[in-house]
Amino acid sequence: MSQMHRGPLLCASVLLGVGLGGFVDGILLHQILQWHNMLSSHLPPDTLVNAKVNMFWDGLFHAFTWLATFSGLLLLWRAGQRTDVPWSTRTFVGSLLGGWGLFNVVEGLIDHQLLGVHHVRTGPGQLAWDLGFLAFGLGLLLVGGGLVRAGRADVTPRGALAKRN
Amino acid sequence: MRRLDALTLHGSLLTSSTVFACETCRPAVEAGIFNEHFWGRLAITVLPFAVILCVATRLHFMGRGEDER
Repeated sequence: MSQMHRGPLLCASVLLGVGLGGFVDGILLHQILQWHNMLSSHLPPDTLVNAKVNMFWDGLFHAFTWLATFSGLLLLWRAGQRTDVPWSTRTFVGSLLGGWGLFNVVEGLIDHQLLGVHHVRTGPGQLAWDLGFLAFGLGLLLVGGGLVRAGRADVTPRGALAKRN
Repeated sequence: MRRLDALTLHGSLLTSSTVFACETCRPAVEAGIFNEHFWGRLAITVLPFAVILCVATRLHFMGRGEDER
């Protein structure tokens, strides 16, 4: 009897979710809406120099986000070549959502609550925005976790799916 | 010949100082980045990713016993 391992698919998809979730934060909140930058509570971007220094740290944040996405892609490719990894859409989508949620929760707790280097939207209601960001992350974790649990029933590896079709 | 002219034009534009944005504030920006706070700020930027990497590594090896069928 063969042993099936979901770990490689879980890990790959979570990293992809973290990367894509990080890009939502970086592209939407940092760049398009310009609600915050990486260090905007420590170094408000109220001068061109401060804005450019923040831009540098935003760039590093994006570089790590890119590395998470790329690592997830490589691991997903490897997982797809293994015969002991079940190729489950529910596990994949659940882990993607869970990864995005994990990013929001970890980043929200560390950067917004613990260190206070920036807030989702600085201003009178910043705590509400920060808590909303965390709640959204927890919601994604719950929905993703549910899908991952449902994906336990999927046991067919990718190679077997190709043969069946 | 026309291609060479175009290459020369583009080459000269790319190497000219005008392509460097905010030429006058660049020293101030560099000083704002590479100061005594640099390593602390780098650690702050890396910290969430380091935590996530630990979780992802655990996930990779987790479930072996659980998923054995």
